[in-house]
Amino acid sequence: MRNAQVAEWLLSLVTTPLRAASTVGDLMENAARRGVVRFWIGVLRTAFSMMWRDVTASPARMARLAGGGFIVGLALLFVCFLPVFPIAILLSPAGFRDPSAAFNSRIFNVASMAVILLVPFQQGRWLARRSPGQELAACFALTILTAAVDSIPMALGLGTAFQLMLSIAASIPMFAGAVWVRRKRMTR
Amino acid sequence: MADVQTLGEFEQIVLLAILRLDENAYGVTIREEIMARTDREPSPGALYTTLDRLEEKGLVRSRFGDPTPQRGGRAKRFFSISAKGIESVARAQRSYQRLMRGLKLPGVAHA
Repeated sequence: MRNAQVAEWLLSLVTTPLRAASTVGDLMENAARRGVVRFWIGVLRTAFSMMWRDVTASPARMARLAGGGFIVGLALLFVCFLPVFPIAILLSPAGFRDPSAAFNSRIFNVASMAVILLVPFQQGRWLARRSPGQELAACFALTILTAAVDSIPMALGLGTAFQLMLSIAASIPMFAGAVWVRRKRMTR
Repeated sequence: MADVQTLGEFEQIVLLAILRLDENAYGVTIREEIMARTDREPSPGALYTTLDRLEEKGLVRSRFGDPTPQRGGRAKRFFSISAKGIESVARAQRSYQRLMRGLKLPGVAHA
């Protein structure tokens, strides 16, 4: 079946490569009778179940990791944004004569975007290094914590569901960081 | 006896399916056996995480078979129940039977 390797790769992020291969083999056997859509539903549900199992197997540890990751993220945001402001002002045509103009400049937008992508990526790496074998579960725990924190303004009528969804989507680079560490760990 | 594990309902179902299948218990056959005997369709995710958990508890053992071309060269993971698993499932079933003994369920001919 096409893309079976992709499914195997996906499952190998949450279980051992041998188990991932045999699970994909089982799902392929089912797919011969039930079709490719059921195959992918099976792959995604299995991957999610395995990740969730890791979260619930040691909830206190996952909560500690999520809390640590949250603080690391805030610290990284602070450190990374510090140089962005003076650089944006320096490179702005108006310079220090009109610092507020820098915040609408392209350089500021690009730098902000880079920070927004880089910080969660580093957060994911930080979490993955501290949770060998459960890298994605730790990121998932932090995603839950972030969603809980971000839903507070929504509950107070200060935010929208779309903003909450955006903040959850912002955790994608974090998972990428965790995958990066896991792949390196597995190839060692 | 102190080492015997408490089992959830789905764990018991999975253990009994493995016992019924004997040498041919792997993901696909276990799921089919459960579907045939209980009219329940367990999700693959629930089944594999339960199997992993039972193995971590020492109630089942797994081994990989030879890779087969029908599965794109992927090996089957065969499961067998350990002595501890047999004791746990027997104990759980005995508990159910003791609870049922003497009960008359309205609308049910034989409890």
